[in-house]
Amino acid sequence: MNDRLLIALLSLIAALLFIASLLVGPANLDISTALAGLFSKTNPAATLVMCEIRLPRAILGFMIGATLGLSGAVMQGYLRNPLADPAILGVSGAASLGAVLAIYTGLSAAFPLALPLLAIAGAVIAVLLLQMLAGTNAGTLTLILAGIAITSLTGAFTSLALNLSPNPFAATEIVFWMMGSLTDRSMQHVWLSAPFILIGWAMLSVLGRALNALTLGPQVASSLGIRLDRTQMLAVLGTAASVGAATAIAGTIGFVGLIVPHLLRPFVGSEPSRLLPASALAGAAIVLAADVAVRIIAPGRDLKLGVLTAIVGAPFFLWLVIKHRRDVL
Amino acid sequence: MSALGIEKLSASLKGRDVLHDVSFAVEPGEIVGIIGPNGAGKSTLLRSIAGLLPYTGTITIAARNLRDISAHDRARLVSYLPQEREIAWPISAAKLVALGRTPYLTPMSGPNQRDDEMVERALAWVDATKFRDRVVSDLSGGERARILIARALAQDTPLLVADEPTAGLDPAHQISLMEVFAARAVAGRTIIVALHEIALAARWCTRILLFDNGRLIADGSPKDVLTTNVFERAYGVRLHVADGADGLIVQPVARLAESL
Repeated sequence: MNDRLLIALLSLIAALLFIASLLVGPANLDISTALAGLFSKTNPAATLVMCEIRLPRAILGFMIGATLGLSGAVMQGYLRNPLADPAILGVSGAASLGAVLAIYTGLSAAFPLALPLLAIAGAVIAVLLLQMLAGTNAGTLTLILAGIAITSLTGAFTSLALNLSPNPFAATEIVFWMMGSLTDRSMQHVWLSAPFILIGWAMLSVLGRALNALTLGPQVASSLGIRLDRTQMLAVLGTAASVGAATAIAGTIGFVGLIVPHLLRPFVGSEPSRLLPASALAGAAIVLAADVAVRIIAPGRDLKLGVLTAIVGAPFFLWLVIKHRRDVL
Repeated sequence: MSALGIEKLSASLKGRDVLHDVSFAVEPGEIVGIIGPNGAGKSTLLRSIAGLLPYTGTITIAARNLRDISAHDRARLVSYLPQEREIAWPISAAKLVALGRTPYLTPMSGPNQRDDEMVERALAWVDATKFRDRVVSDLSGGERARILIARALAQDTPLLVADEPTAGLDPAHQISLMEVFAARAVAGRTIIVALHEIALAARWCTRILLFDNGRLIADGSPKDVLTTNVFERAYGVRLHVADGADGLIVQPVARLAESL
């Protein structure tokens, strides 16, 4: 498919889902009230619902979805592995541990930036650990095992923090937060995460050509003038900044980064550079759609976004493993 | 001006010395065959020339010290075709060949007309135009090998370094590849090619460098290198050599008695 057409189509879908996200919610505003609330101040209650509750939720849905799609496409391209994804490889888990520590120690209450910063630090450590364990030339099995090891380790530390929690309510709150959700996020969350997410996008979006060249392996990429050290730095820091900040705000929303590149590869002829912008838009669309879905499926029950993506995503992961079984084992 | 100058080159891999004190110079238009038994250091030599390995000594390409050439400039001077034929994603053959134009792309723009022409020429050289739009994972091993060679040719550098490019090709495509190398050499390009098929080296290379245990032990025309017993000793085989109307024909026929 023509690239411009694909990008235009995905932008349109993402925009429609963004609007849908603004129109769905327990306050049951009709379309005209919702628009009036967003653009005028005639109805204070509607303005409150739209600007303080639904708009930040939709913006975060878009940003976090695009982050997951883009980082999934970059990780798959950089590691040359179709089973790579920030959640499967433990990056989200490590970011989540960083965020839990920020909440648990009270650091985030005293200093709000500590939340994204500790989450990003966790993500950086996870990606570096992953590279140390598996290297860039690792087979799928090694990579997945390294991801499992990191996820187990960060999971253990997170459990320890919950275990030692002096207050059962705080523990429950953290557990619910970790399930991944966009409920009750405010504009403050948008401002807190947007700078890191945007910096992460900027780093990841310049990697297209390097990822294309890496199709032929690191040696050939290097002989084509690609600087592997710079590529690694941008991939690691870009993933850590964007996924870390996204996880700090919304918890772990898994499988989006895994699924999106697979859905799009047939449309872009598998070229990593063409996959990046398309994956960002499709990731945004999927998270926005899922976030609309949790509000429609179980209104008033606060079904967690991360739970829905896992329920849909895990079988997809199984199917991928079966499909790639010959390469994996 | 030499296309490639190598002085006192040594390299080690994982603490093991693989190349010792190698020196030679190559002029533009030469097709230099690098031969030697397994583990002689051929691949290490080629990767050093491509700037992919740490080494001691001096490598100069087009009168510039390789250490002083940026990765971007180096990619316009040397193209490298490794022995490993890794292709991570099922992209089309033409897209794969177009990766060879990466060093010429400017940050914001895509390939220009010259890039497209070079890709089509490279595809034609390896007889791959007819499957240019097929996905590489659907091609046979030999077809994939030819596409990867076309990628290196599309890079269109003064120096081409190729590691066993003929492995896995049928005889017709082996010969046609060596003909492409010969044509590129006539156009002023320099080809450094590691070969296992001694017969191909004998017929197509203008010069042969024979390596054994990381040392350069013979350097000269195919006839000089292949007909001496230096070659026979390095490989531990006896050669049948015929020099007739079809050119130099070299065929290993038996292992030497002392290596049995």
